[in-house]
Amino acid sequence: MAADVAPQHVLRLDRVSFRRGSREVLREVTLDLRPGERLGLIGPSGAGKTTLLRLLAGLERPASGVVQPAVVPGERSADGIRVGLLFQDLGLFPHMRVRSNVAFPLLARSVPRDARRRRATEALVQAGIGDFADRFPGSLSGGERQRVAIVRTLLSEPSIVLLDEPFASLDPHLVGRFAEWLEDLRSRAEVCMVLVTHDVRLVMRWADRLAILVDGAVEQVGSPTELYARPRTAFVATFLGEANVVDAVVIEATGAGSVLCEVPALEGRSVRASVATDMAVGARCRLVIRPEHLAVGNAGEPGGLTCEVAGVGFAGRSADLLLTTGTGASLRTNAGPADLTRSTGEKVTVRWPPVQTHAVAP
Amino acid sequence: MTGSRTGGRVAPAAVLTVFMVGGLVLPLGLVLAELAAEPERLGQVVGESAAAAGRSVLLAVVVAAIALPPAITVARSLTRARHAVRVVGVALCVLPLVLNLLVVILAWMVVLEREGLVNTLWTTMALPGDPPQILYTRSAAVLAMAYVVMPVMALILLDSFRRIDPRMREAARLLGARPLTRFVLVELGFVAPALVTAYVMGYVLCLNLYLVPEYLTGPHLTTLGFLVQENVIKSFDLGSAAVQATMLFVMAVLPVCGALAMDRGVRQR
Repeated sequence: MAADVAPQHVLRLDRVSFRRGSREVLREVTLDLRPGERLGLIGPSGAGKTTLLRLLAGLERPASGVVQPAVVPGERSADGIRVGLLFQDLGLFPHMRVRSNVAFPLLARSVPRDARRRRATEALVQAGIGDFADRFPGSLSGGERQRVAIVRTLLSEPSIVLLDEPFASLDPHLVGRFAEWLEDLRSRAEVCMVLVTHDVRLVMRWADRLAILVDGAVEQVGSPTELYARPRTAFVATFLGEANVVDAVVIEATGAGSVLCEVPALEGRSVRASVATDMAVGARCRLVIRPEHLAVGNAGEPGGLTCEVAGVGFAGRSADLLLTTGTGASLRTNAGPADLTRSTGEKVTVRWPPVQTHAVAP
Repeated sequence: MTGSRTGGRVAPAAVLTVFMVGGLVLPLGLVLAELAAEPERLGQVVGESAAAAGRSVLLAVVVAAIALPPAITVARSLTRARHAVRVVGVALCVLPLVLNLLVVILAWMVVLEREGLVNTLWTTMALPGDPPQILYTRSAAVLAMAYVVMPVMALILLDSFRRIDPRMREAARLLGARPLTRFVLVELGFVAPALVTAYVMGYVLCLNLYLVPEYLTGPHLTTLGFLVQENVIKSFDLGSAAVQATMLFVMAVLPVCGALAMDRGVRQR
């Protein structure tokens, strides 16, 4: 029932396509942005993420399809929607001091000089970067410049903020702190934020919803949990995290969101898996099993699949085991620290719970 | 190793210094030293040349100021133009520099004379009133000098305009700035050091275009450069010429020093 109710949205792309020369950069993209939500936009390089942001900001016009409401850069739409975009290279004005950069959107709205100076200073202080006010952007570090650019964007009072790779110029150890700072700012400004990033782990923690873009088309949209547990394609499964993907054939379709499959790679065993879309008996599919869902036991334990350890890797709190099945297929597991003592060539038993196995179209 | 590298840097500088001292500063210095022995004569030459010096500075200041807006327009247009158009534009900008100045003066005489292009167009288009009399007025000199210096100023600005990140323009647009605000605060703000350089270069070039006001305006706009020429070629009064040349040198160097100081301030950002 709930699925039939159209969610309230602040901006909607309806079957939007975009061409650059002869290349189709975006194909029939349908996506909505909901009030106050955090949407993560991820996908491989060249998937069209930045172009999608530019369309959302009104900097590009679609070849076909509709953006509702129509966005004019820098202007508030009839519905009161204003979109702010933070470019990957920030677009700060190097010849202006930080305060002038931040006050620029106020100047654009003809806010009197004293008022804009005061508001810019307040915004910088609130964001914890008040000390930078009299410096030029060129004298700041990458992270500091990012903060200045975000404060400037928020002072333009947007309803939607689009961020293109905001973590790209940050050292890895600063990304977490920066994300916290950003979230604090976002919650106070009560804006919808769209984040394009290659940092999948971070965006899965941060986002309310994720949209995965592949070759200019939206592959899947949903909550991070939903996409991780019930990916629609093998690509989504592997993009969001490590996954064992093996070919299978449906031998029984129960119609209750699950199928029984025969898996040649697992020595022809029958495996029950959840499905997002119906699959007919005899249909070829691929099973997705996350490494952390494979349980490793000693050789000879009943009910498991016997495998040989092909490699052991230290991964901090866990051990990554690379296993080879009797049919030569490879499986990855995230085992406990105790499994670090396993040695190459050792025989082990592997089991997997049916609820954690998911079947996707080939 | 280090010594040879240092030597490699010092050698060209040394050659340049010898060239400058030998070719310009030394003869000027010798003549000035002779004049310094007669301070009354020095004061007299400076006093006699002051009016021409004032006219030279005023003319250069005005012409450079008039040439700056079209130079900005040309540079900005070439920045946004396609590569082939830009190449043609740059070639056209170089053209006035390779033309002999007398040819330029003659061309402007043809354009501005009573039966010239401007007056013919005025009559053909049946514009109201009599055609303007521009030749032998101050406007003629200003127009022709602006024609010579404007392309140089445009070429100086071109590189700076090309270095403007298009994202900066888009960011300003997304932040709600109107086109004029974007142009003035973002684009002109970014190229401000180049604007100063272009203006100073235009000003310095104007100081040396002494033939233009002499031929297109007349004796009431004689500039210091022309007096130097007269003293060297006609009067053979090398002492006066040296004093006037030194005055010209100071008039040219002071704004350059000012521009360099401003540029240093900008680079320290």
